[in-house]
Amino acid sequence: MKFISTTNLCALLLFFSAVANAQTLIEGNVVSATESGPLIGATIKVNGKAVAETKNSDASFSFMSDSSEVWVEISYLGYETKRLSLYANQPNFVKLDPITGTLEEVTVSTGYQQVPKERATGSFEKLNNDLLNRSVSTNVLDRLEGVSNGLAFDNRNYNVNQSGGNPAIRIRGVSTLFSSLDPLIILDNFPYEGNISNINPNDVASITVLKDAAASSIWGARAGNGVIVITTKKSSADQPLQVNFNSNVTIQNKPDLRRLPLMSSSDYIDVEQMLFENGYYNNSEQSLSRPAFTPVIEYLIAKRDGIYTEEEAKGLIDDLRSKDVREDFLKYVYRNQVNQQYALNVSGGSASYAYMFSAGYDRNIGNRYGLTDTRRTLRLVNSIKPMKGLEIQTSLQWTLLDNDNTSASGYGQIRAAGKDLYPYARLADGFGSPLTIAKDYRKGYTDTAGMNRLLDWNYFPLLEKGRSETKEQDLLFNVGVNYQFNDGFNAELKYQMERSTNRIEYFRGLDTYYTRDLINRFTQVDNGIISYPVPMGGILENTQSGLQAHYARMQLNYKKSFGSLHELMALGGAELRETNSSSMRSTIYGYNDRLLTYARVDQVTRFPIYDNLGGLSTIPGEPFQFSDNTYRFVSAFLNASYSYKARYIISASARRDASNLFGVKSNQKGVPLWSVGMAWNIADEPFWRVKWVDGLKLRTTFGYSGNVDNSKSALTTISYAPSNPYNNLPYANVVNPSDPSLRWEQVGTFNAGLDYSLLGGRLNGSFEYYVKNTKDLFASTPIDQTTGFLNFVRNSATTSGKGFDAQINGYGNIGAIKVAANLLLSYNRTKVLEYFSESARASSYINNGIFISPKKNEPIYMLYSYRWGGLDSDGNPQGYVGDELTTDYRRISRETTFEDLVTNGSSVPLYFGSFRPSISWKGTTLSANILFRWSYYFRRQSINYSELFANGKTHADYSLRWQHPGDEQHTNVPGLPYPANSARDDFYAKSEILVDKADHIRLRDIRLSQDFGNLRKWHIRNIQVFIYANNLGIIWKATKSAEDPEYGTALGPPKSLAFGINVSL
Amino acid sequence: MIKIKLLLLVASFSICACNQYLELKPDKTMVLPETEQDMQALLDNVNFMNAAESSLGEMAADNYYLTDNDWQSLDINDRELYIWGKDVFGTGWGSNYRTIMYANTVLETLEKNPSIDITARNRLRGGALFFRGNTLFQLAQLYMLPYDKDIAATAPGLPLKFTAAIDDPSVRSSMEKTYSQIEMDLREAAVLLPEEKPLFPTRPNKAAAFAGLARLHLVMADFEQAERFADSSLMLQATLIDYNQVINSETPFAPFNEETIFYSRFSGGGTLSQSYRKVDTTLYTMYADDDLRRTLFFREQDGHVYFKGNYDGQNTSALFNGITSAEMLLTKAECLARKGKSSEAWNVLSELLRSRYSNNNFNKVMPIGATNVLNFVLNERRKELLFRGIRWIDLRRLNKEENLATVLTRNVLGKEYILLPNSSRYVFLIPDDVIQQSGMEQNVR
Repeated sequence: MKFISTTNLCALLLFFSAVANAQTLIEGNVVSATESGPLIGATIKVNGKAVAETKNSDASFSFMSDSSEVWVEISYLGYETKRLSLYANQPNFVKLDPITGTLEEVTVSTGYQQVPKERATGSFEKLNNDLLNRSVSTNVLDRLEGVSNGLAFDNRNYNVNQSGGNPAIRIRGVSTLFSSLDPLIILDNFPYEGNISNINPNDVASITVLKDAAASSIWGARAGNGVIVITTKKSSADQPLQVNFNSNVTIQNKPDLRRLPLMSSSDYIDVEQMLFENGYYNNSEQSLSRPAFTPVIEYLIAKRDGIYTEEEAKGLIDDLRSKDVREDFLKYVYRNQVNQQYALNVSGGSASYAYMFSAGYDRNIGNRYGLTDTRRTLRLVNSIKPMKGLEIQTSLQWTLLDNDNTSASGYGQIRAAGKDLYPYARLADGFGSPLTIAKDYRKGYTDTAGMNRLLDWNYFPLLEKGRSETKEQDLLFNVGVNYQFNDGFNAELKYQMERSTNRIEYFRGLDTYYTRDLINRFTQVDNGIISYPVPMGGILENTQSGLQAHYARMQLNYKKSFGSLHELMALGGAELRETNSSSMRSTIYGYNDRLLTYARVDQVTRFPIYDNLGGLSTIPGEPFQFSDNTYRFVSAFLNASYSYKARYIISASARRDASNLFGVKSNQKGVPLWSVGMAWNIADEPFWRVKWVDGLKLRTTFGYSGNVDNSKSALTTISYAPSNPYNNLPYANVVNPSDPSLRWEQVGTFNAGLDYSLLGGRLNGSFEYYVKNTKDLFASTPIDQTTGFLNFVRNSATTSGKGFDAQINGYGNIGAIKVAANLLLSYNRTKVLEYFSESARASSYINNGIFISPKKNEPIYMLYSYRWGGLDSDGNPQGYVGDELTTDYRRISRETTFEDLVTNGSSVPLYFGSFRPSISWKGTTLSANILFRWSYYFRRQSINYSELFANGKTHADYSLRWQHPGDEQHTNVPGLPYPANSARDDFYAKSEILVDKADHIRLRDIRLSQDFGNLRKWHIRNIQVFIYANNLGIIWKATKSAEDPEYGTALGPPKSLAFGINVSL
Repeated sequence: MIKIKLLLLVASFSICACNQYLELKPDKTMVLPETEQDMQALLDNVNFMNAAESSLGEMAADNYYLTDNDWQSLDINDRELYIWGKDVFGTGWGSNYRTIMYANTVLETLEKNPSIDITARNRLRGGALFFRGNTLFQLAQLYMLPYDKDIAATAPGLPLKFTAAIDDPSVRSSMEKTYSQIEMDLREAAVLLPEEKPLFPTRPNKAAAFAGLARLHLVMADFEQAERFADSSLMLQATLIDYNQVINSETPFAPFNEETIFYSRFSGGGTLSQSYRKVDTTLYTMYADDDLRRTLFFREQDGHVYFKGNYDGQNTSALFNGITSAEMLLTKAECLARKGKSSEAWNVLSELLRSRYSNNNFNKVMPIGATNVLNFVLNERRKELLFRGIRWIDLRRLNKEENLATVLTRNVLGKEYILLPNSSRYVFLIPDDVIQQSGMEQNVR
């Protein structure tokens, strides 16, 4: 057999060489990759010369060639130009990808160069304009969720009262644990240091996510967490005037406070009564600081003191049982959020000049009365070709963010009577008039204490607004000069400057309790003479911060084809980066915002507090606070790739970064990073005859990227603080112990990917497998306090991560109905290989999975728990010490070993992904995005009695608690104890009984759009209108708990509905 | 060729530009400590150097009691501490060792910078040694058995830290080593520190170092030395506040007052907050009617007596526990009484008490017999130095003497708890994390 096949091969070769000099016929068809429709009129070029055009209804072509394999370029208006080999004696089936966004070939941007995707060896993921515009948001990064493979959004710190917070984004699991979890954001060519909200999503053409070392090592020392390259819209030459306008309005529900699992007011009142009967409040009644009590406690005191009869008190208290303060918040504080977005984009160009201008206006009416955000953006991009080979590009981007906040505090932001606001509090009376709440002192005290010397001491939650204004201006200027030499060399000089200023004015006038309370507390009575060290007037906190960043890059590119088979691309260069951020913060007293006057205050003296309500105190708020940080990087880089027949590609890159690490010798400031890679377009091979596989590319890379934290130092460093309140002298803190072993974190990534296209592109996608190992990972580790430090951030672990990212895109037609579906599936499991300070206490690793795990070969984010032994017949939770059942919680916490811990599983999903089906018919498109997360665990919250007594933290599990002997058969919620035992609560909170599977499926959004297509009569290229519904909720979850595993006890974002229109002229 | 040159230019540029460009400090507030100013700033970190003292001893001592209601409303750790439970772990171990780390950072910096002039060098080195010695002394009263010459060589002491390096292992020394280290630190501090009264009593001077040595030798029952050092301290600073001149209020005593030799205070603690700590009634009855401390130190309210004699101008749980000249007088008087110099002791005590009694009229007749004089002095010590952490130290040392030993009792919810003299409960457990991370030996409690 072997002999035969060899002879066959010889015969084949002989045959080829024999026909080599003869003219052979090359034929085939060109179709659209997305719709499988024929593309009639496509041009086929050989060595830049048109040799054929597709004709007939099947878009076929044929031409004669000297060789049996010919390197061609196929182009079609509106489609990406494709270069490939065509072969004689077989039908060549070519599919072209439609161009999305701008008129350029499918390239991925690394920030240093545009790489044609088919020539890339690394792992790039490009998200085109259509995909980014599918969702509606003010922030561009929000649009990546569920559409980008391998990108995990961690929403655990979402807060309904803080709009605009960014979720943590992790690309392929975690690399660095401390420095900064966020990936590096590149805007066009340079890292973007400013506020991500400054970028108008409507200015973004595409986003490329760089996931492996070959892709990201070009960014060197900050690429360890992955890189997100945002490419903005550009103008292109020879383009007629185009105008694009879009606008949308999003309406988002009020936060669904009713869904919070809390105790009822009635239960809360019962607990208060129990505490009162046990004398819990006796001590506070004696206290000189006159701490406030809730109305129920005041009624009970009045009853005890004979002011109310038993019945009167009961009546008053029972009236409160049906109140729920959440209703008041929903009525008086929250409203539906309305976001409006308008964007205009004008572009055009002649042969030597191209321009683009865009303007954007966003106005978000926040979810609380008094919250508004606006963003204005302007962008101007110019490109001039003054002479042959020379191109100058400039861009100017200006952003103005305005944030006004005159809102009352949201739910969960108010503390009263030393606890979270009690559930039966009332914010307004039946007529909507604001009511007062005893916040810090007893009502009876504040009513009489002043004797006309003090300001009104009443606190009205609805009137406590203050005024906060934030103005941020950001200017980004960019200039690039590019000269193309004749011989394939191309020299580039790029410079970017970013300057941003941010000013926050927070004014609290005499109409706020905060200011009045401060004035009252500092009031001095000396022999009947009254003085006010905190002057009568408002308090202004003024924060001004600025960012200045400069980047300069020199780069030499080389790109040349040798014959029709070899192509070499190389680039090398150097760059400088400097980022300076500084801030000044001041507190101004007695400020009059109409006259701009203020009063000088004595912030040196420690004043006694009025009526001994507190200890000696200086007037709070540093008069001034300054900060000034500068980070500098110097880097040199090289990158080269060689391809043979566009079929075999090898690539390599190297980079050296050095930064102004403090206390490190210059020669240790740098770190060399490198990568190598190869790719093989298998489907282009002549031997590839599998007809239904029309694209198959294998690629693999290996390399290193790194992470550096400029705030670390190898030497003991101290930092100055302005002055201490005892003696007004400057003082210093030790910030960093000497750490001679400080090193750069290194991330090594191996990536193997397979890109495929089947059945004429009807099914395409990729599969990537990777191994991501980190060395010298920075992590905060608890250390022996005898050193004088509690914990310490150091190079503390080595980890190994494995995973895959799979993507399947399918297209199909059923008559005039087009169906498409995209499936993204990612897996990542990062485990600890080595942990450098392992002897810590086992129980200290029981948490919510936010610390790094010290257990070898276990996931790096791991949930551990105490073993659960059920409730005993007194309603106490039981645990184990060894195999012994016990309620000695302190012993459990002390003696539990790592072996005794219950290992629940990863606290971050091992599998996650999304499914995005879409169906369209005659310009009507309906699509949805379904997200899923799999194989992970979360710790539920439950009732914590110490926290309930001390801080008023409630939980609905209270109603399920053990109450009578026998209840332990059917409940796991411990009984109500008195006194509380924090060790018992701690054990219960950390036991396995509260850990649930977090797996869930969520319907993120649904979008319905209608394209009206070309309306020539009105000179309109397209009009699209759409409806977009977001945050639609969980479809399925593994846990029976009411909590959303993704957001924990916090509320997730409420549902929203957007309407929009896009017009292109 | 041009391109090659360009490439070379780019390459060489990046190499030579580096060095100077990268010397810039990333954060302007950050410095490598080297100057006199830097070291002084570390020692002036009052929050960490003076206000981080552990109040464990005071919370376990008998100056106050808790009502049943108040006891129940406390966290379990405070409840256990109050009844001298078995599992009472020290809090504040880390903050005390942080003070030592700051002192060591100053000492190391001085080593590396020989150019600092001798006056500054002495002041800084003396200051750092004082802070280290004084902190070790405080720790020794919480985490070690009461000093006993006979067991000192073998009884476990404290881990002694001489560097600020984080990888320096923590190993417990012996009682003898710990006490001799405290003595060495304080003795050298006493030589180096200036005599002048410092700008603020948050900075130690010679008088403070002598006072520290007097405290040390009193605990070691070396009364000869204790008297000598108390006297040395008093030679430099013996001013007393005349309580007749003090205006009574909720906070009669200003911070940094003229009696203060060295200022330090507790970091605060649950059972010590103003409304919890009800003054022991027997203690309150010890004050005579014309003793001004009766009204300046205490307030009666709703049948309870509350303490307000904090030497820090405020009435919180962060009580003053520094060194005063009054304490030195009492130490001197005790040492004299123990030597049988009764009338000398009486004179010293009278000097103090004149400033405490109405119209400076202290006219008690000296008791007969050396023992009675000593008991009188000790009673006055108890009455003067309450809520300053000193009672705990005194209980530990006096329990060694059979006739001066005290049995402490607490009553909680009808149950009586007893702390016998020399009980192992006079020693707190070292925090568990520390034991697990360092592998040090835990105390027996």
